[in-house]
Amino acid sequence: MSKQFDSKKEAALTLKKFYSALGNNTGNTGTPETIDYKSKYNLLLKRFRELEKVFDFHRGLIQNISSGLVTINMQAEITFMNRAALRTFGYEYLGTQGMPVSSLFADRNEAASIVDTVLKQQKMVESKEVHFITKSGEVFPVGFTTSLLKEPEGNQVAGVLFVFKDISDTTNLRHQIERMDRLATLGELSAGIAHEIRNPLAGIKSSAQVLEESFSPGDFRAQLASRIVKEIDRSNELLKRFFNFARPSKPLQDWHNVEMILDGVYLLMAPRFKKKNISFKKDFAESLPQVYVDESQIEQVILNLFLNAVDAMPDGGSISVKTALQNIHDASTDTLKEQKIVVTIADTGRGIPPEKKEKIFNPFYTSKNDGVGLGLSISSRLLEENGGSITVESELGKGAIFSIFLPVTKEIL
Amino acid sequence: MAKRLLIVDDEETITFSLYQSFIHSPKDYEVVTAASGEEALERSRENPFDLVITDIMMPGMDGFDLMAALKKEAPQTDVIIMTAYGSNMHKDRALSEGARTYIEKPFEMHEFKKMVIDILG
Repeated sequence: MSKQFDSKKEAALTLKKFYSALGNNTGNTGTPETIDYKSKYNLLLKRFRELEKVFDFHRGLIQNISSGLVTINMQAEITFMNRAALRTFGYEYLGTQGMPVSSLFADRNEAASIVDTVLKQQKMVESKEVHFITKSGEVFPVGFTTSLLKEPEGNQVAGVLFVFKDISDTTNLRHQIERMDRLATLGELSAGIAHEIRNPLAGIKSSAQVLEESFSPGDFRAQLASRIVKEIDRSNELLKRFFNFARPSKPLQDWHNVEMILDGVYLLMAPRFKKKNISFKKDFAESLPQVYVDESQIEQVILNLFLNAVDAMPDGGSISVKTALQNIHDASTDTLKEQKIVVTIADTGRGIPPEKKEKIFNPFYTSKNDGVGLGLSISSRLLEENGGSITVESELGKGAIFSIFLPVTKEIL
Repeated sequence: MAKRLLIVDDEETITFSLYQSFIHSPKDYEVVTAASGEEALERSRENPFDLVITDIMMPGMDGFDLMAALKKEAPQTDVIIMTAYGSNMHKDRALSEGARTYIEKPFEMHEFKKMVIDILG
């Protein structure tokens, strides 16, 4: 479309030069013929300016829209990408011309099938979710819709328009909600099971203790009864942890400095970091607002993340802690919706395989030989109770970055 | 006259072991057991108790309902609530509704006995 307009503009400019030249040659006293040419020229110029306005308006719409627009020709080659699309993918405009559209898709087989649907079968796609890949290889989820592009004259199909939106935030939010639902269900289930197990344990324990009392202390039968009691106590400790997960005590929220919470936990962990040859770096943002949380619950979460980081680095490494203020804007009105403090805890450990990233928040999921698998699920639950959340980014062999988001306003929970 | 103690739980092993423990103790308590809230109330109507130790979760009348009924019918009876739920929510409720004390299952028998002796003497 822009090429066609450019050529018209060029023609108009040539015409302008021609008539200017004509005007100069004849001086100010034009013949009726030249006056007629001039009025036609003025009319043409007026139309041209009107057209230019329309062009600017459409160009503004296309370039400033927050959705990504990509057009392709019938050979599935990219013919145009708007500013949002170029920014998302990290390409320069000229580099994209003639590039196969399949190179935007993370899964080439899926791309081939979509191209076949939209170009060969000319069936349009509505709100389909796929993964795109940026120039630097970063994969991100999008939702897209397609429309047919027709020749300006005639009804011939010239190509296809893809309109897409990065849905990383929506996808993350959906994953978080799904995780919370899963945790809540498993939590309730754990509480029910724990209750049912503790009742018979109580019966076994009191029976064993009555039996123990009936023998003299040195009697081997008293010792056996005592062992039964010890084993029951061990099982009961585990059940108590299930309870903490299922029904964490209601947070006692108040205003706290997140740096003080982090420093407090660091002091607790410092000897262990030193022993395990782990360096600790902190980068706290200045003048952060206070967070409205239960201090001891957030300490528990941070302690847990530090302990996990230590376990992920058996040969030493480093832990970096950063704090930042995150402003969340309302997309429609562009006004500040809410603020959160983000604490990121990054380690240089073994990392988490992609397929396990979501599972690590499930209760009883563990990669440790001596772990129960409740640490991260309890942390996630505690943050939820405090109006916060937790996310993880990781690549195998490149460490893990846990981000916790804490409220800076009182939320009605 | 021997102090009267009623142990209420639908878990028979618990009532049986507690019964054995108290009848073999040097304290001369009269120990009765019941497997439900309804049965406990019936025993209390026949002859009120000095102390009732009751579980919360039981089919039919639960421990809280039993305590409320006892408060009306036999206000002199003390109540101890026991439960396998590890939650402060139940503890707070038990104490606010008039229980003398609250104990989580599984418990230490010597602590349990001490609690009873503290009340019954």
